[in-house]
Amino acid sequence: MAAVDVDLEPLVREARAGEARAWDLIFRRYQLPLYAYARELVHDDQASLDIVQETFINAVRHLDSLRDDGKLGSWLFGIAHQKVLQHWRKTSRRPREDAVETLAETPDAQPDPVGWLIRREDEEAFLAGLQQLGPEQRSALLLHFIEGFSLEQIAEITGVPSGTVKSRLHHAKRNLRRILEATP
Amino acid sequence: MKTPRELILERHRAAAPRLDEIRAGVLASGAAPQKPACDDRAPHWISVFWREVVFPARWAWSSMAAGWVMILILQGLSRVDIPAPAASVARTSPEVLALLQEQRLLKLELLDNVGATSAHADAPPQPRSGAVPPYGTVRVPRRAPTDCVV
Repeated sequence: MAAVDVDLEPLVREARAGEARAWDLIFRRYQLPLYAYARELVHDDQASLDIVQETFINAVRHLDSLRDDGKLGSWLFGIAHQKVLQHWRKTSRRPREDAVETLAETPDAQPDPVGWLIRREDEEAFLAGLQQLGPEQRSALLLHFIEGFSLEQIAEITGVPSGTVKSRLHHAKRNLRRILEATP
Repeated sequence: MKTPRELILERHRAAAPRLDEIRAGVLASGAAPQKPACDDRAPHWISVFWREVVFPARWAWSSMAAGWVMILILQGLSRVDIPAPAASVARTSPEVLALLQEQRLLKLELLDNVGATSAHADAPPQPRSGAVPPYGTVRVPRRAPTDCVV
């Protein structure tokens, strides 16, 4: 969420100055979201932990490449996304491609992750439905749900045009809703 | 009722202890830079220069370095074959010096002659009969016309 990143700006400045305490707070803030994102995409506990670790190490080493301190979150997730892609290439076990990705439909005008409230009895169906989505749709939806990233931020993280992200999000939400509605 | 964020993070909360270990490990391994004791920016600039300029084009830099090494080696080898001029000067004997002196005097004489010839050339044209023959030239007197009896 953008507001969280704004609060982190002083920490980023301290981290640039070499303050280990600032790094500790940044890592605490993002370790679980990064792990959840990686774990939902690679389905491997150890590989997901490795991805988080490599993300942290890369972040420390290449903090100079972060141009805008307010974009720390999307920058970290961008590193993690690259690690996920590397893992897929290494294992050659990339999940199936989206069948509905190229459909041209009008996406939602106002993506609103907060508007999604899951009833207790739908929790399992929601998590199961997430796994039924294709990797691109799931990736976009996770970034949208976990951190509330905007279309532009998701586009930067995943390295695809904003229009493609918009389409993926729309189809992912539509498919997920169908799954939830089909749940008795 | 839960938001998707809460639901997803809660699902993976069991990994928190291992994530704490990873965080502590990264911080302890020295990957996180320590606060510098003094404001010495030199290592920073060196690392930036290395990362931004040298490392991306490392193959080009290596090729250029190898090329320069080859040039220096070839230059060193060719320098060995050339005889040093100073050494020949050191070997000059008095006879050679005397010969050189003689050559120099001869050159001066020749230059004087050339100067005189050129001075002649600059003079206004005269009839051939009035021209002074060069030294050593035998002048044959023209025979006077005689009365011929046929």
